[in-house]
Amino acid sequence: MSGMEKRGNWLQDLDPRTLLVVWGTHCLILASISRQDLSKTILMGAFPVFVFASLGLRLGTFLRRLRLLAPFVLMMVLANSWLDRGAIQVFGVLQIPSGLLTGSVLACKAGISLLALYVLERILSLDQICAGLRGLGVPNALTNQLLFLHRYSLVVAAEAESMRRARDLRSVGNRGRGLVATARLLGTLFLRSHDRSRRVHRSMLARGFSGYLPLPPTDRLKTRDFAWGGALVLILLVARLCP
Amino acid sequence: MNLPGITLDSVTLEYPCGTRALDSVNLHIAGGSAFGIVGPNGAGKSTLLNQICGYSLPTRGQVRIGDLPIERRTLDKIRALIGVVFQHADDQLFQTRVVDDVGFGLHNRGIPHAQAETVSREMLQRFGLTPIAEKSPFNLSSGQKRFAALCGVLVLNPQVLLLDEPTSDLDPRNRRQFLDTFRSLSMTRLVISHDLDFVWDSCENVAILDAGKVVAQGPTREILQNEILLRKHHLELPLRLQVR
Repeated sequence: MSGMEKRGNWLQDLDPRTLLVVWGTHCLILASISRQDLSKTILMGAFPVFVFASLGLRLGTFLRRLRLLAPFVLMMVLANSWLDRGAIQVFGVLQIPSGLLTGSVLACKAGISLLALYVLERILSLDQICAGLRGLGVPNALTNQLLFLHRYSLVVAAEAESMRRARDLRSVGNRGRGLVATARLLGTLFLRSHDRSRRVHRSMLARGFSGYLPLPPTDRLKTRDFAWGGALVLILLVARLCP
Repeated sequence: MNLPGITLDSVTLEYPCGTRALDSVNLHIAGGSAFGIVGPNGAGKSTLLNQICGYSLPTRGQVRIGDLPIERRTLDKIRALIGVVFQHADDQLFQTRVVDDVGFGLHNRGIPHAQAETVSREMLQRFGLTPIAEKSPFNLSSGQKRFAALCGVLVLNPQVLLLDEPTSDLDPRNRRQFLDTFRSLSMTRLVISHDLDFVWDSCENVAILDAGKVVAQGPTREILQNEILLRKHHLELPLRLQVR
């Protein structure tokens, strides 16, 4: 077994392909829910919440990530409220703007999707996700892109951090931190990260790289994988189809 | 085993703007020997390394590894023969775990995953790096990165080893360990370095490169004791030879 695999929970013992099928099903079901069906959307949130709780994850870390997404979600909700100005009746008596309801559903879907992605990332490393995707027949070109994107993001982050430090050390108060300075910094960051990526690529070529990033092979699916995968998909489908 | 040497035959590299980065460089590095290239900043040392790796091809002249000329059609064969440890270990380490990075070249050679991992772990153990095998290369010290990068190359058992500034980020203890490792290797070795003491200790022959030209070459002990020659090319005597 590859040491890069995360272990310790029953979910983490399942094959990456099983988990990807379950998560993919959840994602499709969530997307299929009507934008006016708030109760069913919330019901779909039960799945990632259950996994989150069973893994004993820290809420603070997730909320910090949610905060990054929040401005976009808020903008989407506001735009939706503005565009959808009809009225809708809830509980038979209360009339609320239709935009408010559909906006809330959109916000819930975004939050649930992020939570589902967050817990999946806690269960599987990116290498495992890509190995699972390859096992499910996703073309290498796509998984290679994902792996490269991940590596490139690390390179960019390292370059950005060293540039930020260099700028901060020579900034006095807010001088040197304005929009123009930041824009220049971003341009330089692109050039530097491009240069660094070129050097990384050269070192990969020196070790025989020919366009295929190696990943650990996937094992044979076990009965446990079929049983848990089938049960989870079935539960999700029942939850979606029940009135 | 007959180890291949490195031959540079009137190698010239000219950039489109007209700058001549290398000017009729002639060098022969015998198979199984250790050779040093020294020179001031901007002399063309790393450019020369790029020529030997085949990252860029000369405008004129030829580079050969053994009998194999470096051309586009021979690059795959050449890269199977040589191992390169780059100046910045960060440029070499890109996988999410050290052990995966060490095994990267083995995977590319079609070695099964489990076997590649076993061999990689053995190589890490040889350098006392077992405790960092599972770590991300981004979180290592400079010395650990340097040795992890070396492991990733040595695990491929190259017949020619190229090192660009190998001791630039090593503390004295790590430098000593690196030197001992370097001396214990038997393949053809080419070192590009500003660390003249390292070259003194590790290479039988040395060349001085300045402004893209080889201005002197010969036995290390002879060249690196010539203070006038060294000063003329912005170099100094190795520290051990400097009169206090």
